[in-house]
Amino acid sequence: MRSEPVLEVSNLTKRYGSFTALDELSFTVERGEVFGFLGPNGAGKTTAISILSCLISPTSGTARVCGFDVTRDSLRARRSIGVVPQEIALYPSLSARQNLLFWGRMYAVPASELGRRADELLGVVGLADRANDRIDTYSGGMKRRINIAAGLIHRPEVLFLDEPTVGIDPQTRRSILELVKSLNEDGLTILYTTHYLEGAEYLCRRVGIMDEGRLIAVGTRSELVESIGAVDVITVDAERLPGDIESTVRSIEGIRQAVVSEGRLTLDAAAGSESLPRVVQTLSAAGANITSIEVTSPNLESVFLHMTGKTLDEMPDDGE
Amino acid sequence: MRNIWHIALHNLRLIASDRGALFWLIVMPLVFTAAMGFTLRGGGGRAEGPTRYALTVANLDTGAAGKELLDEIAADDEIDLLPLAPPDSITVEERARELVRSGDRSSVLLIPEDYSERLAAGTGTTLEFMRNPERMQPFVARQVVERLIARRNVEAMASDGVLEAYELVRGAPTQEVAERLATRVGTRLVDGLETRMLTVRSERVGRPEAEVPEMGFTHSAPAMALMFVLLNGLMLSSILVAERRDRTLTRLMSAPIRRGEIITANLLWRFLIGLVQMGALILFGRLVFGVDWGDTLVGLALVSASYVAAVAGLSVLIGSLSRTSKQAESLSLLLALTMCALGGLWWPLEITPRSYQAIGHLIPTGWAMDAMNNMLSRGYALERVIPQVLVLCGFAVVFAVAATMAFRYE
Amino acid sequence: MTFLHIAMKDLRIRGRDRSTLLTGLLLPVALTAIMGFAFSSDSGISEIAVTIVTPEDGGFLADAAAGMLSRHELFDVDIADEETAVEMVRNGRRAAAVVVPDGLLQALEAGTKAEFLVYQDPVSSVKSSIVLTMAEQFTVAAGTGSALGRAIFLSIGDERELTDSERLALNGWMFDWMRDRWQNPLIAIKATDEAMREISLASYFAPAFAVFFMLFTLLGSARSIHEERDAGTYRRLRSCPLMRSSIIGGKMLGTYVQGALQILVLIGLSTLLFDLDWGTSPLAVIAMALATAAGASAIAIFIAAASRTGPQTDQIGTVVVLVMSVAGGSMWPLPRSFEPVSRLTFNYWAQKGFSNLVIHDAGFEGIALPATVVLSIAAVLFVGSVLILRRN
Repeated sequence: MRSEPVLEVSNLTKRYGSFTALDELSFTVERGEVFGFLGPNGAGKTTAISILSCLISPTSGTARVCGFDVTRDSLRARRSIGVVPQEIALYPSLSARQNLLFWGRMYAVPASELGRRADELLGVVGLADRANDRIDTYSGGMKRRINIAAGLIHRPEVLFLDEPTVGIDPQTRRSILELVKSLNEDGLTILYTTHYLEGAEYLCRRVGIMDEGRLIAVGTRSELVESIGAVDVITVDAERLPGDIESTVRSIEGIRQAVVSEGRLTLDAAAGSESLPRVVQTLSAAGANITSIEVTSPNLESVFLHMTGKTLDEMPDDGE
Repeated sequence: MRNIWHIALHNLRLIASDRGALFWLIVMPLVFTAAMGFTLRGGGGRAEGPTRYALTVANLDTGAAGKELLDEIAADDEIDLLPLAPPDSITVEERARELVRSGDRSSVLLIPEDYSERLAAGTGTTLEFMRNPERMQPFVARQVVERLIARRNVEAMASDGVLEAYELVRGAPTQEVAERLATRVGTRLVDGLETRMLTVRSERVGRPEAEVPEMGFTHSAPAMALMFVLLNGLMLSSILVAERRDRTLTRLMSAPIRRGEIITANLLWRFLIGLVQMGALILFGRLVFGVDWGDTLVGLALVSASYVAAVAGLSVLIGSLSRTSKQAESLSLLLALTMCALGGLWWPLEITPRSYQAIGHLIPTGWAMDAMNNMLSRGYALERVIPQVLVLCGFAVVFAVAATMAFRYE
Repeated sequence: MTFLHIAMKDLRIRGRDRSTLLTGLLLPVALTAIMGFAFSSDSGISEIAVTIVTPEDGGFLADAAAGMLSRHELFDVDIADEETAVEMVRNGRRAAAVVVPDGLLQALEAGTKAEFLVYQDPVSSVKSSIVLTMAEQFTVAAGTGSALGRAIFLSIGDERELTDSERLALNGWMFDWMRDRWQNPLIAIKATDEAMREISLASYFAPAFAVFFMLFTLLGSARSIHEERDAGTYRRLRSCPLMRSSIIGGKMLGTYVQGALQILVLIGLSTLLFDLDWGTSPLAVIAMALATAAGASAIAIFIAAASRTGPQTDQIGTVVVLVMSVAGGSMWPLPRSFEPVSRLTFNYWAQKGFSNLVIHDAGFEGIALPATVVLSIAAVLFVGSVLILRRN
């Protein structure tokens, strides 16, 4: 069993003309780990995944997957990777089983093993009874599950999951997260990109926070939360919020960060319960009509907000 | 009414902003029409060909008569005489057959080696006309040869006949009389044949010759216009399928709009596009190729409008029945092309069997083409194309009703 | 081997696409059947409705003219006055009306001119042209006969004026003698159709339609290059441990095999349905079909490779296919002067190969040149496609 990291990325940079999509990205992913990339659209997550999947070449820097350089040894690197893209990259007029068999052949899974493996995966994702139905007859959640199965057909050493729960209902999302968790419990290393907090918090041991092409923080959930100090997140939904409310609220003692987005005011507070009365008073004085208030203990959202000045809600729910 | 207009206008705006759609609707038909016009004008076209017909002559005759015939053929204005190179190892006859079989030559006339001899003996001879059945030219070349041979035959008949006739009424002529008769009959015959006593004049009934230019394309221009309006009109059926797929139709149905209004709007915008297309093709034909669209503009407008209405109805019907866009497009293509073929848009119905013509009149294209022919070629006035207009309107109503019954929003 | 799997996958997808079957198989068969029906032997040409207007004093020549047309199986003849006849032509109920001139016989005997008038329905141009041709042939024959008769009469009369009994005797003899001599001329002409085989009309149309529609369905196949890119499956393929050439090769192979299957099935169907005779060398037919499929698939792939999007493939492809078909003479016969242009098109050579087989039973010899040209087109365009796809 190898002890070196499954993924080793060092100063990975990608420029398109004067635009820098990735700026000196460096991180490692250990075997058996679920590592998450959290960040808004345009942060560079997909660019990073594309380079690691050997689809595009970096401008500079190196990336190694299971010890193979993605540029110089791309064929061997790709054999070790399973990719689950954000779009449903399956053939709609073929059945689920036919899709799995095809992708298995693309990964040179031996014919003697391929059928069994396909059936096994269909069972794992809970679609054995729909194996011979065309993909275009599936619901969104079912398609996502086969999408994942197709990435696993060749028993990869590491799985790249790019926004696997976009556009599906919470219940299905939950079941997919459970599926991914169980895969990891079986020993699979996973690189997981998302802008859904729930997935990152539930699955990932470590999270890398990306913004504007840079990895601005990496660590476990508790490490990241501690790094910004103990902060509570106060979320206020209100009508008639004045335009300058962010700066007004930031001046309140104990409030470290304030962001308004679509009628929702999100605050970082050192001690939420202490700051809350003053926040309410300030908002009322400003003429705002508060409809709901919530105080939550620090989470990745607050880390994100603190580090980037943006909320995860600012991003459209359709991925990059 | 307002809803109908808004929905129709919305769809027209979508089409107008879609460069791809504009390409198919406007550019393609004009390009194709222009291509057809340029290749077919100036004497081209289905029934016409070049004015000089290629013919090869293999003269095996060693006498003067064979050479004389060959020279006459060469000098004829309608014949383009092609040389026959002497072959190496095979006979001239075998070479001639080979050339025709391979398609290198469309026809070869073989003058046999005893041609002069048999003519002199008066025993009769046969020329062999080898032809390639694939080509048009041999049929006309053969007529030219027959004309030249007929002359010789008549001359022979004259010289034989005068003696036979004389003997019938006056007994066998003397040598001297026979010579005089032979000379005289030759001269008389030449005089007689020089002036054609019996002639034929033809007159087109309907529009005077001058108004119907002899260009193959102008006879096809109305057919092309009808074809493109049909093809494009039916292809628009896939838009309805796409609206169902994208759920925009469902959304529309959940708005305070009647189902009938939605259907009417779908018919209306297709109708308007078809009219614009038809107008563009008519104008293009007129301005670029001088196509004469008949004496009655109102008739032309009514025929166009009723035809376009029928096409719009059929388009919505196909869109209602199809499950996917591809299905709609394939069905549209199949229906459009078969309706063109059966309706007389690709070749005149007059050369087809009665049963075929009957089928052609079960579909709108047959009636539309009838109306076009009546106006453009026969010069019918407006009232005489009303029956076709009414039938086309009937088709429009039938298709619209069927489309309404089949219409579904998901 | 992965390129084979990619090709098989594409074939499976296309095979399930009913619209491909509709456009690629049903449509060409349907059009071939329609054309065969339209130009079948019991065609409308056998029913040319003609009205003859004969003058009362026309004499036997007028009757001969009317009789000639009536006896001919091509014509459906009736007699009427001129006004009625013109009206029936105007209404489209008659293709033509032939007006035999007044005093025809007297005019001929006196050596003065007479004119037939043929009213033509401009809509029935083919049928009315046939009537016109028949009328012209009649007048030529009658005129020639008249000139001959007059020449003989006058020549004998120059010796000594003919008596009434001599004239009568000659009149009685003349007609039968002339008829005998017309039927047994001194110089006859015999037409032989070289390599004429029992060719059904469908034999001409079936290959042309097969080639034309194959080009369109293959465009649809080749377009999948863009569809896969849009759907994300191309990206997924690229992340697999495959050489890019496998992906490109698989796509090309799938398109080619589809084309080959399509044209072979079409040939089979056409043979069964329309009783086509492809000659005595089925191997040559298969070889020509496979070569044609190579050319058509190469054209389709090249267009898809050179286009940026799926819709662009459709647009450019349709223009290219239509232009090639027009220039190649697939759509309508072109003037002879266009032949050098036609020879530059794929359609021309594909059809040439098939027509050599069907019409001349030329076997491999007949397809050698056409197949070579078509395969050369395929080779050049396949290479071009690979270069473009690799670069993109």
